[in-house]
Amino acid sequence: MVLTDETSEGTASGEEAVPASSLPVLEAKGISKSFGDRVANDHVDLTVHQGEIRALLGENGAGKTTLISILCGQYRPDAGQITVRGHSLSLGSPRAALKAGIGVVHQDFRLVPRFTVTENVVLGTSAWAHHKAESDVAARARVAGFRLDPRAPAWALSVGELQQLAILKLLYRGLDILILDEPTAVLSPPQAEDLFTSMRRLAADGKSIIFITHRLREVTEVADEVTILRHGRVVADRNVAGLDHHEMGTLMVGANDADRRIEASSEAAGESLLELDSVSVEGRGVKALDGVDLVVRRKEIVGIAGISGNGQTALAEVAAGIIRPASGRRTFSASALAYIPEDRLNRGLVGSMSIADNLAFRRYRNQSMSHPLWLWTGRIAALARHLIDAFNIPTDRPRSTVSELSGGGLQRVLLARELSEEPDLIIAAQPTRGLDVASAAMVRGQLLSHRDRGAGVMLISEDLDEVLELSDRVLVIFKGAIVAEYAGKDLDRGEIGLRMGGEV
Amino acid sequence: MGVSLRLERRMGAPLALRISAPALAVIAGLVAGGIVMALGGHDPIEAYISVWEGSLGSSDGLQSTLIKATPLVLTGLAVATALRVGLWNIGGEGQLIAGAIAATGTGLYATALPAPLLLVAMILAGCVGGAVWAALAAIPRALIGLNEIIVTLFMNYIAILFMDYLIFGPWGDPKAFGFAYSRALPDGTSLPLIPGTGVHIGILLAVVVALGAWWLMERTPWGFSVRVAGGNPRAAEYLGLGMSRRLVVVLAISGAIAGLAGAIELTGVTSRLQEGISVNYGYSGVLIAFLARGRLLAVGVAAFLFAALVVGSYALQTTGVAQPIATIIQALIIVFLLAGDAVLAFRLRVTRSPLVAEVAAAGGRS
Repeated sequence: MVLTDETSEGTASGEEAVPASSLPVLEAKGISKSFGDRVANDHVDLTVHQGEIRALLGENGAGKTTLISILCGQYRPDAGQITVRGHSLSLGSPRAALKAGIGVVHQDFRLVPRFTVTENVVLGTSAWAHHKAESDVAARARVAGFRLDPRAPAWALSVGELQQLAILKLLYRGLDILILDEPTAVLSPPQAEDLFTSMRRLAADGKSIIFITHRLREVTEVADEVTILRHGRVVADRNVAGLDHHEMGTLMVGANDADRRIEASSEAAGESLLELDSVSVEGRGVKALDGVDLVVRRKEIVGIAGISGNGQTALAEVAAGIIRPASGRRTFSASALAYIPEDRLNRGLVGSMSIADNLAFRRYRNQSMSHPLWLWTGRIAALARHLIDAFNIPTDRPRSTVSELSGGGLQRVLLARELSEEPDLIIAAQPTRGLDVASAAMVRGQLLSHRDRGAGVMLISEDLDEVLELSDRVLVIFKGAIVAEYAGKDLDRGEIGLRMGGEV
Repeated sequence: MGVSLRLERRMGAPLALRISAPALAVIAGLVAGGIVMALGGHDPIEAYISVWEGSLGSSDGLQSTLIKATPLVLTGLAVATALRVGLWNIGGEGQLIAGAIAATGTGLYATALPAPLLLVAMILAGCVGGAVWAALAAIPRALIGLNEIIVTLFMNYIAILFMDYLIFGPWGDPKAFGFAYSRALPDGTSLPLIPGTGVHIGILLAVVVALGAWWLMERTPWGFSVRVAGGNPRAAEYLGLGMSRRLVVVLAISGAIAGLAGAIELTGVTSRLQEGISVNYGYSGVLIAFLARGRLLAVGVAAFLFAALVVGSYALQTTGVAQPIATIIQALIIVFLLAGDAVLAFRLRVTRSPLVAEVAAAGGRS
């Protein structure tokens, strides 16, 4: 039987009576998938019940992305089977997965920026150009608890709204097994709260949700059940209620890595390495930075807390000397700068070059690496092997192109390069965003040990816990201005949260 | 029981496939070409034997192929070199002609030099001519971002028309009675031959240039910086590498290589500046660089095989196959090669799906 061209139309399953929640909606059994020698999924079982929120937890490279790609038919597993409501699903067919009700919200949303909310939702369905489409879409958005204007163009929406739109698109098609691929990675904390509210609402409405995340707190906050993957295998399949963060973290990364405690030092800071003196930067018509004063000294970590989009990018780039201030002065007295850009791939790495070349990127002109007429390729390769080892970069082929690495691998390449040279000033913008627990712990440990060694660190992060945990001083940025500074022990989480939101 | 076919993208094909795919592509192209010939009433087997003998299978054929490969190696290198900094140099044709013009000018006017020195001066002038022609496109690209593809392309027509002006006008041969070539160059300005062959030393120069370009781009710190700038301009900005200067210098080097091809064709093959000094060598260079996936040393191999194909199709015409058919066969092989390259990125999956309909009917919808 070959599938016909008929598209799944917008029939709501929310109107269905919700049966007992013990009914398994989706069952994947013994899923295995290898890419060459690399085993991405090794006999993975996953069961999702109706109305359940199931977290899929695992480090980068644990096999989460592969598993969801198999569930939605993008990849065909080497072994295993999937049943949806007791019927076997044709594997490796995106169309069959859609017909069975499985839909994915990808991290990049895959929407058409020039289309309106309604047009994006109905795109590819038979409701295209239907005069009632707009009110239909608005009604469905209301049911899901989304505040979306059906006539707004997608380019004008915030990240949180785009995500709602992507979910709405699936709901409109009547899909009821929703896979959210790291949905909180791009959201600010209040936006994430909104998302969790919507997720609970959808689950109560009978939808089943597979929620992929790195953050333990989110698992306990929103999920009912959790499946934890490590190295492509299921290491736990449990009810969230019986699990604490420590145990979850241990399961995810293995016993030794998770238990790393990080302590802030209170040693006195030394001489100034970087000073910004009423620095302003022009953004698109608005001031990206507005009269920022700050100092980073030796032996201290200066944390910049704030909700994304409040001038952090401009601050990092002006501090790193990539962009010039429109007014004000930057005094740079460090001798070696390490910069971990927020936009790691576009700013920090060259996708077409090899891992070894990317690691040598900052020092290929040093005498130890080259003569004006030639590169010491053997030494570059030796450096690469050393850094691959020291920073656990997941590859055994330093000469393969860097773009073949996974997201976490790319981040490790960047960190290895920037932090291996004994810098005395480190500007780290969102250094742990999107990282798995072990990688994030490694980054934090690195920042602390460089601080203890005598380097100054400017840590820009949306993760308030991280800022509070690591920083000796905390500055709060809001609408391009530093609105508060806290030093030493007088840190009040609640007050900082208020300042981040622009309250006084 | 249904069968569905689908394509899956894959990460890097196995080595055996990467070698066999182009071989299969050539075979498929030859079979398709054979069908075309058979339809035209020719014996494909006999024709292909003459192709083989005319290109690679005989000493004469091999020599013709090497001569033909010389400009193709260089124009392919010109394109692949520019790609290192992220530019598409479509102007190899114009740069080759600019090089030939500069070399001819030197040959006609710097006659005070003794012959061997004059030859060297002509070759160098060819490089400079190509470099200047390319730089004329590179500078607006570097300064105001004017698209180099368009500018290099249009500079080709300017070069061709300027050459026409020269050979019909000031440099025209009065004894040519309106034929399109310049006065003869002084004696002793022909490229020497490789001893024992009829092949001029241009192919050796081309190999040296290929090795040099590879070394410069892949094995020097400067080449490293060029690859960074070409691969990710934003990362280059972060390293403090100037983009503009690199764009201009690399495109000038690219132009110099194409210009060298012009000087070599002039001194090794035509002996005069004339229309048809370039048989679309500049454009073939784009194709060759593409087939070599931009890798500098692979360009040499691709250019050699391309030359064999071109020379073989000349041989085909001597067996009575019309030139358009010969060109069609040449094109078929290249199309199959490009297709083979695309196919390597995917794999075909055959899936049997007995229960699709039931799932579709039962699952996910009310």
